[in-house]
Amino acid sequence: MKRNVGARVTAVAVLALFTVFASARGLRAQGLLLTGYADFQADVTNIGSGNSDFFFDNHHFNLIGVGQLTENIFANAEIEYEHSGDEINLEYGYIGYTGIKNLKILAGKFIVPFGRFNKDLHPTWINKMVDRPHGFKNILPQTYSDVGLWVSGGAPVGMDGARITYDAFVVNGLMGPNGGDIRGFRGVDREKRAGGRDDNKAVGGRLGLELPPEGFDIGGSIYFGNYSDDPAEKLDLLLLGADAAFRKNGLEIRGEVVTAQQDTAEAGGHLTKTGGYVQAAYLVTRNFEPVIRFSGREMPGSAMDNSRVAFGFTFYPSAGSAVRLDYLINDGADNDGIAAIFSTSL
Amino acid sequence: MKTLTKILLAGAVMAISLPGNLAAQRSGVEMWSQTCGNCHRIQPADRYTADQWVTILGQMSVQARLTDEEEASILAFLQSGAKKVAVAEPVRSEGTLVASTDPAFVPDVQPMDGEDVYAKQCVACHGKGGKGDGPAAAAFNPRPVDFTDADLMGSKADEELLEVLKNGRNGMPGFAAILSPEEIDAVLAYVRSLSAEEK
Repeated sequence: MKRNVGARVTAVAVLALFTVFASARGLRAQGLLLTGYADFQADVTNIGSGNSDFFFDNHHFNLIGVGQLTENIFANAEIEYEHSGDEINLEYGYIGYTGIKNLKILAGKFIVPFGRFNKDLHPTWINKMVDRPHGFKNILPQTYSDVGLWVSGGAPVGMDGARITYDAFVVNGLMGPNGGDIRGFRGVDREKRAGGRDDNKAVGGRLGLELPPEGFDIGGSIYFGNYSDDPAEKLDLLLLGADAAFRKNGLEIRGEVVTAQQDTAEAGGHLTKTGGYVQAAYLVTRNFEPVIRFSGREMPGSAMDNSRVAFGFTFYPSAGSAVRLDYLINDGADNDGIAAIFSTSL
Repeated sequence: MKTLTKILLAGAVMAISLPGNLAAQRSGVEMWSQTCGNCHRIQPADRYTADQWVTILGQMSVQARLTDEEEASILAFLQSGAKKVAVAEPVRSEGTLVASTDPAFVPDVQPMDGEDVYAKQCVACHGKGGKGDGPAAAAFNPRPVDFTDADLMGSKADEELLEVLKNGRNGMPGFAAILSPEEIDAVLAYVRSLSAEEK
């Protein structure tokens, strides 16, 4: 029942958005462009345990509508249709204003610009491995989108080709129980915040430096807000992140780390959680790219720590599609996995 | 926390207030190769029409945090090689017409010599040494031509190379709307010199 309501709301929102696109044609508008991405995935888990699982998944069939309404106003929305329809949602839907030099103003629901993977690299036709970085995705809950205001931009700086980039946002924020798993804080029903706590917004952003001729891209991110789902409680969540990438002659090395300082209800108490990944990929030929990734997390109490070494390759049938096959070595015995995916942009 | 927030805000203010011409402006093809390729495999210019690229770049300029000049530069490049089903409106950057589908259009820019043109417009696909191994080469099938292959280059008349330079072929965009006739002649002479050096 709840899913039906969500689907109806999504459908109405998208219909309204598309109606706006359609009615805007003629005002120097370039109209609506429908894109997106879709994939088909196969997973084998718990290899060697005698109880392995093998299953197929239509993880994504996500449609993205982009509309240039006027020269300086556009709208962008992604309908998230995941796991063969088990999850239907609006991943993001926002309106942007681009009429100010080096400053873009966006309002609505957007993927929170923290680090690189969450906003830029998570689509399966872009992500160089089948899965998202293991463990890391639990500290910075991914893909994390939220409702609020976002300003963004970039500008060239002194060195040849160098640019600085910035993002700053204010959003409703992550929310969950005292000391809870941050990954579960996404997409919480905002009505639960009734009772006078809705004025507690989360703020944050990312500052980056790109040196394209040298192939470097580095950045630092921050998120800060009250995460408590109890209106009488104030529990701060501070996320600090750093990301770096190097890209040259077919070689790409990138990594991210995020650390969370999560207040708990006990006096002076807080939890420190850290996650990260580093991966390297090399385009051997135009179509073939091996990749290896180390990822993991450190949680309060070593029993919650985990890590993964994953390696595999991608075959690119075209510039917008990918076939990937990965082998996943997880902590502990008899829980390795194999993951394969065909993903294409639409 | 407050210090980090101040650093972030200071960076944002600095970025907003910086003049666009502080650093040398990269060409559209360089930006396309480097900035778009920073997240995903670059998409060939002929995947979309000129109008569709307007819509896509409007949104991707947010994703890639492009300045107006950078966006216009990439757009001009992509439209020059776009799928040919519609005529695009001219692209303006800071009030200066930088590209047009009008064959009579002459860009209001100073002509560059052949090596400069090559460095700005050709290196991303054909590579620094002209071997067809630039960072964007992977987006093309067939791969960009190796200008150092003396046999190959010797088999091609100037008229054929000029035709490709002006109107494009196999996914390579035409440069008639971006370069002046003098610059096209100059870059042709430069790529000819690359195979001569290999002899």
